[in-house]
Amino acid sequence: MKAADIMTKEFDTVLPSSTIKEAVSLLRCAKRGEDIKGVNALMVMDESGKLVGLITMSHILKAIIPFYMEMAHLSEFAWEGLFERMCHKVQDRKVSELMERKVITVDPDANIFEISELMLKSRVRRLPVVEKDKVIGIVYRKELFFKIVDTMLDKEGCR
Amino acid sequence: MTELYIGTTIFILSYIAIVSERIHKTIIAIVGASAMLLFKIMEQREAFFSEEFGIDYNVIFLLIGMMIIINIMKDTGIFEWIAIKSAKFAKGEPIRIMVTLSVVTAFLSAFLDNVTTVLLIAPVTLLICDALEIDPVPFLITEAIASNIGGTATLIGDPPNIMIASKAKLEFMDFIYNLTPIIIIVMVAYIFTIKFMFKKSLTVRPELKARIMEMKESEAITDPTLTRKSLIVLTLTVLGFLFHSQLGFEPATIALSGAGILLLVAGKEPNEILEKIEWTTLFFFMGLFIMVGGVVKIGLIKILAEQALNLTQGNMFATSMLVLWFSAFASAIIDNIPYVATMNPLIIDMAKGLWPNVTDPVALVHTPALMPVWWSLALGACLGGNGTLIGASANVVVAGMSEKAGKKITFMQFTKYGMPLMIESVVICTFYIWIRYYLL
Repeated sequence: MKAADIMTKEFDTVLPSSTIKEAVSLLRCAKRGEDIKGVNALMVMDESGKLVGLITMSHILKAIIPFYMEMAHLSEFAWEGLFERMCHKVQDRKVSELMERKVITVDPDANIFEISELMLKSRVRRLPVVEKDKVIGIVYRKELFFKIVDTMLDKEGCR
Repeated sequence: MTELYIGTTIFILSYIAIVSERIHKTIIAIVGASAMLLFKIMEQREAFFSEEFGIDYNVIFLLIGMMIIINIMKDTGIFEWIAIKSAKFAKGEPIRIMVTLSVVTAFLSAFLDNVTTVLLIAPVTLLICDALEIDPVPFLITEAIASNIGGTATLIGDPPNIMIASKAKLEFMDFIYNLTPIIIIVMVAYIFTIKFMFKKSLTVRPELKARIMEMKESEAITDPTLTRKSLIVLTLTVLGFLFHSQLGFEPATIALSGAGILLLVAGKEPNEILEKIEWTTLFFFMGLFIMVGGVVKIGLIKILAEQALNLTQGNMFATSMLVLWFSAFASAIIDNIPYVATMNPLIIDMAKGLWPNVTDPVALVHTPALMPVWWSLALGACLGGNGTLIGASANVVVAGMSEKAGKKITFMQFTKYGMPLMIESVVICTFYIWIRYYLL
């Protein structure tokens, strides 16, 4: 079983120049396979379709916390209205400011063990599948786990 | 003679490299030190074990001891507690907060490393300014300057003082008698000046002050037991410093013992604490000591000392003034640590030239006429750091934090406040040195 067999081929992407507000709206309503379910992360691609980054829910959560609070454990001293203010401040920032630039990717012919190892080692839940500098799909950890479920339970489903 | 040229070349090239900031200063110090050894300017034995030319372990271990203590203390939340308590004491009034936080920063810096102090106080300052919806830049600048002023007050407050104390064989109480009084005066003048500078621009709506008053500072303490233990050990350590000569111990012994006791009672993994020691700084010191030792040994420093003596004609008041003002402007531009490392042996060589009959090294550095020169060096080198953004590490640190908060502090913006405040403080010191040591 290869990455190409497990990957999801339909996905939405975001531009590096998009605002966080646009990214959040996409995260909420993005395609995941055939359905529109919302996703936890978006691949960031420039106009030419080149993968330049990845933006996840965690990046946005982190941006909401004022850095000094994180630095000195001061989160307990937040006041009423700070959360809304930070959200409004962050919404106009560019995706390129918050995204992870070093995206870990896999080849379409990577096997299931290679993918699992990479996900565990680099602590990511999704890996873009890249063929000749072009993203052809994305492998989710969940899909990987479903393969294990299918194999172990012989498709008997929930009882 | 070739030794003199080679050693001088290594020294000057290293200095230029340090000032240019293209390569990290610690790398330069290590490379420069090894060059001194490879070119046989000095023997390894001298570099490691000679009190005159080698690494000054008084400085190294005093720094290590204090770094361990602070690394254990900084996670307890005690400093955040102090900062929030101060803001509440100031009733959320911006100018009063600026004053109390500056006083607190200066006081803490007198006992702790300046950079550590601002790293602890600045995040709380950003929190308070954010809550009050005011520009944090004036607060951060005034705190950095306050930490440099406060650090000057004691032997352990700032590395130049630690280095001077070691070379001039000065005790903790010598600094308390000679520097603390003038630093208190400088600090009072500083407070009045910043009040005047910023009073008009700092006003906030009353409902924002309430945000400060509603903060519960007790929530800042993450580990009450460790807080109590570390406060006890810190108090004992400071008492140890105050009485170190009566007890017959060097300051480094006190610092190391305090660190040992706190490590013992804190119950933390030593790895966790020791890896946070600023090894980069310590290796910078070690490399620097060897390099300076090399140029002392080959006589370069002696030649410079003779030049300085020619300039002042042996007039000690003129020497003190020259050292004070030259050190202030030199430290505003270059790192005061290599500067003081070079000036210490220079002053000793100058003393040898002035009083050739005094053979006892301790008596020589303690010659009454030389004492004001040491104090001038300490005051100039420490306070000079306030002159520009790059003059002291604390300034660079607050600039970095301010930029992260989206408010860049430019070189000129810092200098606009720092330079006049530095000159003010050095003018006050000029009168102090003159009145206390030459007039009375």
